[in-house]
Amino acid sequence: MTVTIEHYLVLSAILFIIGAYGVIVRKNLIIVLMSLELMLNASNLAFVAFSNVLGDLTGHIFVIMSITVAAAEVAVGLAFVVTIYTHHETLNIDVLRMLKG
Amino acid sequence: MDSIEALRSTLLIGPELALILTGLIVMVIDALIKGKAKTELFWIALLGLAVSFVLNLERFHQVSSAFAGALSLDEFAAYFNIIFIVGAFLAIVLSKDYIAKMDLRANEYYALLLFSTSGMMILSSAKEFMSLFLGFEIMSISVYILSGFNRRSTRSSEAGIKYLVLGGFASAILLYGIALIYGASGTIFLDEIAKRFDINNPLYLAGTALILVAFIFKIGAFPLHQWVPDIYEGAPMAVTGFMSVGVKAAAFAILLRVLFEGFSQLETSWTQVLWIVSVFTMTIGNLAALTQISIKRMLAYSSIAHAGYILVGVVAAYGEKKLGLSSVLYYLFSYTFMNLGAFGVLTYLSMKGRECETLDDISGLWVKKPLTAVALGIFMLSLAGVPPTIGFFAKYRVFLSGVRAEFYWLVVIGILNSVLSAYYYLRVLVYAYMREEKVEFPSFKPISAVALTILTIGTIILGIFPFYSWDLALKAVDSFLLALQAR
Repeated sequence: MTVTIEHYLVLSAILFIIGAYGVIVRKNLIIVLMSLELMLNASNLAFVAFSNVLGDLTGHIFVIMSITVAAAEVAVGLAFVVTIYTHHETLNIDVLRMLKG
Repeated sequence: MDSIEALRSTLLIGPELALILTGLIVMVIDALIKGKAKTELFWIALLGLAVSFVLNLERFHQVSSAFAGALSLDEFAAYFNIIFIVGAFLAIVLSKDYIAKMDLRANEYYALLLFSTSGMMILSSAKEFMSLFLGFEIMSISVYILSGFNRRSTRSSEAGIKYLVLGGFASAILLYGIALIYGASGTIFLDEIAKRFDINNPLYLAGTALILVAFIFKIGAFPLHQWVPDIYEGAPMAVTGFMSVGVKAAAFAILLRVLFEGFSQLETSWTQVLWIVSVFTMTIGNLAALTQISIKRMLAYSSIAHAGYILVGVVAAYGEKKLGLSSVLYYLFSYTFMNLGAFGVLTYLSMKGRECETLDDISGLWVKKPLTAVALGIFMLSLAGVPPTIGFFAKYRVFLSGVRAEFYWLVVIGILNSVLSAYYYLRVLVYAYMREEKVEFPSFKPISAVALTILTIGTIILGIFPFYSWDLALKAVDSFLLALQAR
C-alpha cells in the first residue's frame, strides 16, 4: 500500500482533533500546552504534505516559521505556568476561577 | 528576489522598523542604566512612536508593495496604522503613572507594547498568509505577556495564561485553515487564492470557515466571546485599554482584507454568517453588561457589543462597499478615542496597588475631581452614542450604511441595542455625579492628565468636525477597492 496525501490529511485531522480535545478537557496546564503544540503540529504536517504534493517550497518555509512561533508561544506559556504555580501551588486549571462576573 | 529589491522593501517598511528598533533600544538601554524609575525609556518609546507616525503618513501619498507583494503598503493599511500608533502612544502615556503605582517593571512593558504595535502594523498590510500569521503572532504573544504583566497579582497571571491558551487555540485553528487553503490553491497570496477559488472544492470551504472562526475569536464576537470579560478584567488596566482598541482594530483590518480580497467568491455566505454573528454579539454583550458591578467588566462586555455594531458595517459592505467599509474604519478610529478614554480614567483613578474597578470606586467623583468626572462623562456618553460626541457619528455612519444596503432588521436590532446600552453607561455617571464619596481618590498626575485631555478633546472635536478623519477613511477604502477591481 502506498501512502497518499489522503493518509497524511486524515492523520493531521486526527492529531488536530486530539489536540483540541486535550485543550478543552484536560485539567493540567502542562498537558493543555502540549495539546496546543499538537494542534499546531497537525497543521504543520498538513502543510508539509501539501507542499510535497504540489512540488512547492512555500509550505516547507511556512512550517519553519510556525515552529518558531510555537516555540515562542510555549516559552511564554511555561513562564505563566511558573507564576501560576507560585500563586496556587498546583497546575490544575480548576484553580483559575478568580475572574468571574 | 534579489538584494536590491530586498533593500528597497526594507526601506519601505520604515514605520514598522522604527517601532521594532525602538523596542530593541528600550531593552538595551534598560540593561545599561541603573536605578528603578528609568523615565528615559518612556520618552524613547514615545519618540519611536512619533517617528513611526510621521513615516506612516508618507503612505497616504505613495502606495507601494514590499517583499514581492507580501505586504501592501496602501492607504487602507496606513489608516489602521494611525489607529494603532495613536492607541499605543496614548496607552504608554497613561501607563507611566500606573506602572509607578502598581510597582511594575517599566522596561519590558514599553518594549512589548511597541512590538505588539509593530505586529498589528504588519497584520494590517499583510497580503499573504505568512506575513499574516507572523503579524498575528507578534501581536498576540506580546499582548499575552502584557495581560499577565503584573505577576504578583493572581488575577493578572490568570488572565495571562487564559489568554495564552485560548489565543493559542485560535492561532492553531487559523494555521490549520491556512494549511487547507494552501493545499487547495497551491499559493498563500490572497489575490492568487481569489483567482483559483473553487466553491465546489470542500478544502476551500473548510479553510475559509476555520480562518473565519479564528478572526471571530480575535474580534471577540459571539460565539467565541467568553474570553473577553475574563481577560479584560484580569489584565492591568492600561493594557486592557490598549488591547481593547489595538487588537480589535487589527483583527478587523485582517478580517476585511482576507474576506474581501481572498474569499470574495463566498461573499454571500459569509455575509449571512456575519449577520447572525453581529446580532448575537450586540445583544449578548449588552445584556451581560447590564448586570455588571465592576466597571472594568462592564466595559469588556460593552466592547463585545461594539464589535457587534462594527460587524453591521462589514455586513453592509455586501451592498454598499464604499460606505460600509469606510464606516467600519471610522468606527474603529472613534472607538480608539472613547474606549481608551474610558479605560484611561479608570487607570488614572487607580490607587497604589489597587485598581479603580467597581462602581463604588468612582462614586462621588464629581465632588472631589470635577474635571475627571467631566471626562468620564464624555467618554461614557460617547460610548452610548450621544451627539455631538464621536461615538454618535461613528454609530450613525455604521447604521446608515446598513440602511443603504437594505439590512433593515439588522439596523433595527442595532439601534434597539444601542438604546439598551445607554442604561449601563449612564449608571456609571449616576454613581460618579450623584452618590456620596466612598473611597479616596489619588492626587493629580500631570502626564496622565495630558493623555486624558487629548482623548477628551479628540472625542468631542472629532465628533463635531469628523470631516478630516472621515475623508481619510473614504480615501483608504477607495485605495482598497481600487486594488480589488484592478485584478
